[in-house]
Amino acid sequence: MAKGEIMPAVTFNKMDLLNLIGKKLKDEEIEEIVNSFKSNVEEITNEEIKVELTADRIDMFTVEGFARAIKGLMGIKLNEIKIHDSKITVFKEDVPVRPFIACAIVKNIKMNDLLIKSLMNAQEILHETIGRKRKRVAIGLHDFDKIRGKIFYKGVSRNEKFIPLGEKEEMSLIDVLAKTEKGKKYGNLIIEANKWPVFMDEEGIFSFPPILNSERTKITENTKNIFIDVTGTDKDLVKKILNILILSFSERGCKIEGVKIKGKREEYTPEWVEKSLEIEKDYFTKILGKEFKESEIEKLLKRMGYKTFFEKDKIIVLVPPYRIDVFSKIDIAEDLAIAFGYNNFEPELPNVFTIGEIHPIEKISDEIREVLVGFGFQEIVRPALTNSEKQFRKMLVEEKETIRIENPVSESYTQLRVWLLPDLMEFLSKNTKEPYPQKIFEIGDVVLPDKNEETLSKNVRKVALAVASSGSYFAEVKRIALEIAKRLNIEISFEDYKHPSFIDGRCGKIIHEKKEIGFFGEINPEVLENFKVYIPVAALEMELNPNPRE
Amino acid sequence: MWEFIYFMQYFLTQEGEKYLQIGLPEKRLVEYLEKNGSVEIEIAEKEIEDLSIALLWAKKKGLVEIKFNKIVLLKKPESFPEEEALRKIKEGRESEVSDDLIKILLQRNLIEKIKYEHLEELKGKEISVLSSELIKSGFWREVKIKKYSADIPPAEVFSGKIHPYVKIIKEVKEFLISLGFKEAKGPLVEINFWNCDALFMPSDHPAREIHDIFFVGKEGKIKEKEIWENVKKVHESKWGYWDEKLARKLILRSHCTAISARELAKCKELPVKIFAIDRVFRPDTIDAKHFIEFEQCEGIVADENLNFRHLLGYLKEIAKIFGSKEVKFKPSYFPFTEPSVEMYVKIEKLGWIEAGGAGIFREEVTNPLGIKVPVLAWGLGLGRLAMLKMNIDDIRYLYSDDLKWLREK
Repeated sequence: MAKGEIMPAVTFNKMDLLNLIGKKLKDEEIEEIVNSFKSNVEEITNEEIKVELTADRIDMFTVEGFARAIKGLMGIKLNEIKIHDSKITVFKEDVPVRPFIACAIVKNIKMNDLLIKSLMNAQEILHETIGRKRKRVAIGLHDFDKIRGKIFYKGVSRNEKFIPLGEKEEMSLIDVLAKTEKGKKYGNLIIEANKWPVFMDEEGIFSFPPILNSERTKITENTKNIFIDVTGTDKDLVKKILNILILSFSERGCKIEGVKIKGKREEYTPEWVEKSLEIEKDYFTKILGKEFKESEIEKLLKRMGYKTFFEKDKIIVLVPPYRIDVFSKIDIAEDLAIAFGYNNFEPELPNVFTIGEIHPIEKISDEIREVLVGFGFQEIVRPALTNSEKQFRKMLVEEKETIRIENPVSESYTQLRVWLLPDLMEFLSKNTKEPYPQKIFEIGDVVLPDKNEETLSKNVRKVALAVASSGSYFAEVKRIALEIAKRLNIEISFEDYKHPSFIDGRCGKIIHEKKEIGFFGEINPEVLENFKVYIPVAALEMELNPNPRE
Repeated sequence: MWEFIYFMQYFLTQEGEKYLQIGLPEKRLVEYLEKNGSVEIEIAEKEIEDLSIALLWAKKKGLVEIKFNKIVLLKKPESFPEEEALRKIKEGRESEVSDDLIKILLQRNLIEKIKYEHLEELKGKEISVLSSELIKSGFWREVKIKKYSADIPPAEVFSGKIHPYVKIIKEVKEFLISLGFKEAKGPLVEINFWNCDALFMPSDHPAREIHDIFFVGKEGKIKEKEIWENVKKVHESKWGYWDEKLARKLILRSHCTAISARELAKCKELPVKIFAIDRVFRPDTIDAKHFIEFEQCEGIVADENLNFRHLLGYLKEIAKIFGSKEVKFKPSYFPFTEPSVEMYVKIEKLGWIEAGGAGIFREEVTNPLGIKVPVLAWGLGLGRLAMLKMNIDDIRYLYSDDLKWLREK
């Protein structure tokens, strides 16, 4: 199965992590607990612990959230997170390029280097992963005590000015995009809009999301209270990400205060609500194949941070607001299995009776392999990606339509091959020091453009072979074509053929039911020169599924 | 009796040897007629081997005649001298055979004359090649056969061989077929929809960007309109958005799970057990550990009442491919499965290694495809397995262009 996932690797300060957990743990103990989640410990040193996380558990991306998950699984009591009211209002105007915001205020912060570092790390990983490089979500943290008067979120002209973080002089917003590192990196997210998003107070702009904060409200070691702005293009996600940050600060013992957001409608953020899921009593047994007692379910789910209530015929599970990965009851079932321990389940092979079968094209390919090995040929396997130099020019063939890739990583691999023989020629060219005769073959798929197919192309299974040896192997190769046809159970005939890759007068077309299915002959010496193969080569290429729909 | 053999001039041909064993054709015909009476030619053709030869000689000797398409026995001779002569020649008593009989046997191509002239010249000499005639005549006793040293290295001979990687793939296939899995195939150029969207991967998922998938620059045509609409609904309700244009784009298949999705969409009958081993493509830096193409092995099982323990059951079975009896499971994450598992197997000298990923397809994947039962899905690190079995540490050797290595492997 595809890994299909970017697995973010995060480094946490070990002492910080253990302090947050509130318990001394040996390295082995840390590793065991961490690995019983989806995450993996990559390395533990005296100072640091490097872990590989999975993209779903965003709440574990921060050291505080990570510690909370561990505490839960270890059965340590978790803090209740409460939201207080700040009585602060953010006046929100319509900013189409970045329409959604969520804000909160954090009080009583005991700022230190570790905290500053963990806040920076958290912002960076949230921006890069779920924030999709700040496109969907961007976070700004500000010294709340430096903000004066009413707070506005609005769209302004690109000529408005402020002193961006790390600068000494005022700059216009357009200059921020043109001249600062962050501006160059993220400017494309807003550059086409008429009005650009900013947070302002009485003194002017203090945040320019998703690009830069201001020098005026920057976080320092003296910061006591923080204003959080989360902005983005995804209404739910901005709120979810705010919850992840709330989790972090409250695990640090800070007081969290909510903010009224007054736009066309009134909202209150953070939206700290426990989602409630109703689950049938027998659901976990059905999915996991094991009976769990109610007390067991309650205990195991508690360790994953859930609250559980049992009603007559259903289970009510309350999902913590920071568990933004939980969609439905199946996610709870997985967490139940994780808390129970995957290796504590007894594997069972079900009685699902089916008859196994190899695919017909693979069966026929295997038979042709057998024939060619019998003729003394060595099989080779080559990449399906190639380039037009090899496919056409070196073979003296006119360039044909092929499937080309828009984002190749190397000049050698820019398109899918439409025939196999060029790869055999290249193989021979790489092995001119090896003793002759060299007899090689490949069986593989080529991809031919075809407008009638839903993918505008089709796979064609082919065989190609080459004999590099002094002497003429024209007749032998023809003989092999007959043998292959016999195995394919098809009638073939031959016709003289002009093909630029072959010597004129030493090439034949292979015909089945009036259709060309291949060709063979002695390779044109000019082709041999192109590949620097200085020995005669006889070769053949033919389709293995000439009647695909029969 | 070797001295008789020494003077032999004749030996039996293959046909001669055959008739000595099963009897001359005309003898077999006469014996058959004696037992069964007259018989139609069509029937005799089925009963008597080499009937035409039998008829030729029996008629020549006046033993049978053909009347109204029937073979009729005229007389039964006391003996068949040719047969006796063959036996004598075989036993080295050819001097007892008359010249007339020798002539007949030569004519019937049942014996051959040994050419002696050049053999005589070889007498007492050392020869390097033992010829067929030397053996037939027994004259080999009169020559010296040149001695070869067994310890001189021979000239190189290269046998034809199946590629070692293909062999390993075949072994894996045979194992899966023995477990009842049927092999499926899919197009190398795939519609993004089947590769990602049908698998509930959100449109802006990081693994869908240009550094993780090769784009072909065209749009495919979706035939399954209903599934298209279902997938659209599930994305819009769960992720809040769906990029239809992106879903239509053609790409190079980046995992075989695309084949599983197509197979489920086609599925009409349960249970289903399908596997695919096929080429997939991902942009990557090309080095000893990474290449932009590789084979993946994936399988699905769909049936009523399947559960997580059954998934582990299949994984434990599949671990045997790695030669491992022990298996360990770990929680994992894939966008399309829940619960998700990573499988580890124990390999001698290496210890525990990651062998593959698995899970139960999310309902967000199965429902739009019209599947209402649990679907177990698993995938194997085939490249890893092959590198282990082939004892190589550079992935590029799987598609090696080194003939020397292939010849020696």
